[in-house]
Amino acid sequence: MKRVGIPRSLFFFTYLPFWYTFWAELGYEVVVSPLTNKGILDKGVEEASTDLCVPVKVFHGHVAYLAGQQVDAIFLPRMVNAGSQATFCPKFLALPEMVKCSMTDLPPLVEVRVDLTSPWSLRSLCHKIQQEWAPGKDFGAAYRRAVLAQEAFQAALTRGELVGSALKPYTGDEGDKPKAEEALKSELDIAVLGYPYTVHDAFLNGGLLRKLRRLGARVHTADMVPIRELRRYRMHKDLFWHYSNMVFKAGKFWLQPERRVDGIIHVSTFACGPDAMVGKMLELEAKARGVPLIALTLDEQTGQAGLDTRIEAFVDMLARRKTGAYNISVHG
Amino acid sequence: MRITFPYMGSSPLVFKQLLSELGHEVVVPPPPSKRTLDLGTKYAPEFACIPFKILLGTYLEAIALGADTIVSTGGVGPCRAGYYGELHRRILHDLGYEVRLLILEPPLRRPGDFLRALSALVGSPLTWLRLPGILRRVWTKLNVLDRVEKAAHAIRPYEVTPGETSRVYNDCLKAIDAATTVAEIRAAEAESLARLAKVPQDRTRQPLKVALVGEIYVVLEPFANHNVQIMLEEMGVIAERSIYLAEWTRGNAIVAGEKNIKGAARPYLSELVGGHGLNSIGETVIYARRGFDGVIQLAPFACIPEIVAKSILPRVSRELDIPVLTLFLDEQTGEAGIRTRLEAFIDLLAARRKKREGQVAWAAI
Repeated sequence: MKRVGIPRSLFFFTYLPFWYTFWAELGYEVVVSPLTNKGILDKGVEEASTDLCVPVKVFHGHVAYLAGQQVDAIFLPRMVNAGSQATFCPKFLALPEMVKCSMTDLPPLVEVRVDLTSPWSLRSLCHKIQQEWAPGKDFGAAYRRAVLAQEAFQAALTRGELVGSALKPYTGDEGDKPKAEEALKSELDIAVLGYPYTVHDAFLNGGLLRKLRRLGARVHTADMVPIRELRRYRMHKDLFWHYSNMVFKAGKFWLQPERRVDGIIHVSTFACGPDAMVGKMLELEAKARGVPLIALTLDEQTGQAGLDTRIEAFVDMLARRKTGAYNISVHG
Repeated sequence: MRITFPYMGSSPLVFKQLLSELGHEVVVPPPPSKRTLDLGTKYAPEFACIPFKILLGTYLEAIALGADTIVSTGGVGPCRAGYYGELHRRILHDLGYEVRLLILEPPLRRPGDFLRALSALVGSPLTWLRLPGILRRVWTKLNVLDRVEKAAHAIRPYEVTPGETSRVYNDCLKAIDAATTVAEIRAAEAESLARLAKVPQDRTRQPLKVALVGEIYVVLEPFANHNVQIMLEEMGVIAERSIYLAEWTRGNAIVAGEKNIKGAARPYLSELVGGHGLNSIGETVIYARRGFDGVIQLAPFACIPEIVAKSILPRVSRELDIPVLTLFLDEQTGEAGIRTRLEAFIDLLAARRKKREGQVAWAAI
């Protein structure tokens, strides 16, 4: 049986169910790289150009891991458009080239250009993959099952499930699901806003989601907001990047009076280009609504203790604010 | 309407004439300085790129001088620059400045926004009638500024007295600034070129040739790059800049040009990544073919398209055997650091040339 590798990084936190199912239905054994760990991070830092952000470095690490797993191919699409006006960060647009420039001895890469501007493009793209990589297999069934798998995943997220546990059928890991003894203790609602590959990579963010639950907060993420809800937040000019629009509009969603959260954590990475804009805009929105916001900037040097202290202080402050112990302005 | 605009290279002379001929009171912003950058850095997001910070500082300085309207350009991404206007507006309004931002968006992609900004700029029907004449004068001036600047750059590596070319060039700029009609501008050009040609030169030198590529703002605005082009030329190196504003406008806004740059980049990067990322790669290929000794990539710190280019340039450098130096620039960058790296780079290029000419047997470079 042929084996295809999928790096558990970047856009695969959003699209893994589709591509996993599609490849499996084409008769491939799908090898998903493990959750990011120290080894993968170090390998990525070693391989990638120094100026890249840590998620892209980590992506290089996942590709290197898969290269050592005797796979027949690594699936490395170029994400250009996910079916809206917005595109992806330029680092996604040039991902295959960047990986090929810095790494040698890679297995064949399945490089496809994913541009879903027209409604039929996903189907024809998948058809092309099937013709080239699995001739003779039943394309229609594979495509339909992949679409269903992705829909089931999205539905689980909108029900409030976290990405990690919703991906369990594909990865075998439990993700950030809270244990029974970590049941909710307080009434704090916190929106954790950031790109899926930082919010749901527990190694990069130091176990942020689990930590928040242990501190007794209900966690809301951008992926839990149905796409049609996000579309309702019109801006004079949308941001250019798909994930950035999701994060900013999810911020607006969780700031609405009927479901206003007690605090927002903006998870970003060092020198992230789009986040320089998104972060400031979220900050201004939160300020206008009087909701506290903390920005966590992650990189390969991030220390657990520093993160923990900041998160604990923030949650403490939110709890005191809520109980009225003191209520100071948090935006100066 | 007291109107101002971003400061970039020699273009303020052109914008000043354009806006005042359109009948506006123009607040010419001061050239970017340490103070400008400090102001911008204070209010901008930490990881915004240096052009964003300089522009924000420039706007704040111009507002202090009485500007109430800012005109700038937009874009459709994926480079962040296209969103500058939106975020600048939010930040300025948050600081309590009720200024109006007129953002000229790409006419074909956002026609509504473009026309609204344009009609605010042009104003009365009478001005529309005068527009062709105004554009002709302004376009002439833009081209003349580029030609005179190019002439100065061509002479500086050969100048006998250091600084002489720059002194003459600055005088020429004043003459061109004072000229407003097409005839006057052309006369100022002829006079400037004649004056520059008289700068004493030592034509026996055989300078190294280096190209400057990268993001448009840090390539065009000397303050943002610590005057790297003139610094190189005063070290006796020919430094050719990839971008001049008139050519760039012709190639991007008027006709769809730059095909050869995209073609040259294609073996290394086939996707447009916004900003000048693809150009940095394609131009490096072209300069290598043209026999340049080296390429310097100028990039704002955290600039996404240039980081992409930088990740791919090592392959171009290896395959076409051309050294590439990347300088990332931000508010922390110091001139001494730039100078040291340039000197080391030039030394390396000189050693390579000697080796090629067989003058040294050892150079292990």
